[in-house]
Amino acid sequence: MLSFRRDTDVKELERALRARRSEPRDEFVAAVVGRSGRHLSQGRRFRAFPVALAAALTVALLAAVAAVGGIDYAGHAAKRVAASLKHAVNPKPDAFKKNAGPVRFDAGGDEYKPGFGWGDPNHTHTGPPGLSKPGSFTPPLVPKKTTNGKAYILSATFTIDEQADLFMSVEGPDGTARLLTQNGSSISGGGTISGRQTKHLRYRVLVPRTITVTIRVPASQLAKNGGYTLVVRARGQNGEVSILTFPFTVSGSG
Amino acid sequence: MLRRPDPLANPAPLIRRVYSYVAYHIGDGADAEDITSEVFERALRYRDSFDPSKGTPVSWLLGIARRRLTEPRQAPTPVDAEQFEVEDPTDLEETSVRRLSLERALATLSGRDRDLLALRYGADLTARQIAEVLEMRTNAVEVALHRALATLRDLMARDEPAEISFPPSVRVEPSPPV
Repeated sequence: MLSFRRDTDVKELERALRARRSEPRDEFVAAVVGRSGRHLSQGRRFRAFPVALAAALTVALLAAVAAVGGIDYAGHAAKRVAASLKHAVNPKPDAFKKNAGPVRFDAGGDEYKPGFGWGDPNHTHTGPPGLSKPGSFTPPLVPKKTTNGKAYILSATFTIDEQADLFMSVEGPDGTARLLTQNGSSISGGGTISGRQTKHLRYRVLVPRTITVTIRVPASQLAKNGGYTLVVRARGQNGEVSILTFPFTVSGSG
Repeated sequence: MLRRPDPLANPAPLIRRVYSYVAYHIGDGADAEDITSEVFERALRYRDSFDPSKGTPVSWLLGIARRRLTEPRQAPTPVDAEQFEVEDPTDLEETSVRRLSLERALATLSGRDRDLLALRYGADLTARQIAEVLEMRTNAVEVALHRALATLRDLMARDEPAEISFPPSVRVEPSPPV
């Protein structure tokens, strides 16, 4: 029997209206929370507290550990706290202001490599991540249409020299990001990706290497003869960012 | 000097509320995420303008979201053949019919009524909180909500085809093969 006849009580209608409510993805909430936190840390009135707290913690930590003979370990800890204190005084500008919204954390092969935890000092360096196209000549990126004609496949290769978060998007001439299909996209060494369509693919590289990404873009998102750019942004652990672009044109005959 | 409380001190539940409200209006997905992100960009930019005497952080944020929703948007994301369909185990015929009927009725409601329902059932606000957002009296919100629900119920009832009922003695048999 169908519901909601004239005699249907309001409670049933309210239940249906509540059921219509949708919740955001946890990754999206985490991305916006992270961005809010960074903005807040840049405000003057919020800056004084973490600086004072970090300084107080440094002193307390040194005193406590020195008392039990762990002064060498405490020295290392102090360096770390000093680094966070430096960051609190000179916070980095938010390079992903426009792009931090719809991102997706994709568990891939990188997440499970033993000995390559995020922050591994053997796989990081100072300055922004080195992001480059391999070899002296890189053939231009040519999108290929799938056999059913519903999507284009983009394939690009680049080398990254330290652990970083990759943000990949396909942007039109006006800079707006296009929707990407995660199912069927892949990252070499990281396996295939799955999930809802999104405008920004995010992937954490734990093993610096040459990476080939294969990204599926719905055909409806790319106009024929249109010029687009596959943008790869890499953010290292210190927050510094490198950008690599792969311009391409969608063939009119495709 | 007394410092104003930070409206974004605990952002996660606020993000969920704003997203649910926006998605109630424009649908779940990337567009709702984009608008929610923009709302928080604006909130961060203007957080010093938050006045706790005028309402709670959630009502302040939903006010920003309402204004953002009235602004012109980019062309909506086209319906995409590439979108992968996920089978919903509870998606039975009756549920589908009911949902379609509800969507049609909601689309027919006035913008004000739709917004009221989005604030109540999308953002999960109380009548008092809605009153803060809309700058109305709580009683007026309660009455308006009641009327919106009644209108919605009437629209749905009108939308449904009349059910044909047979007396218990009558059995409907399939026609014999010719």
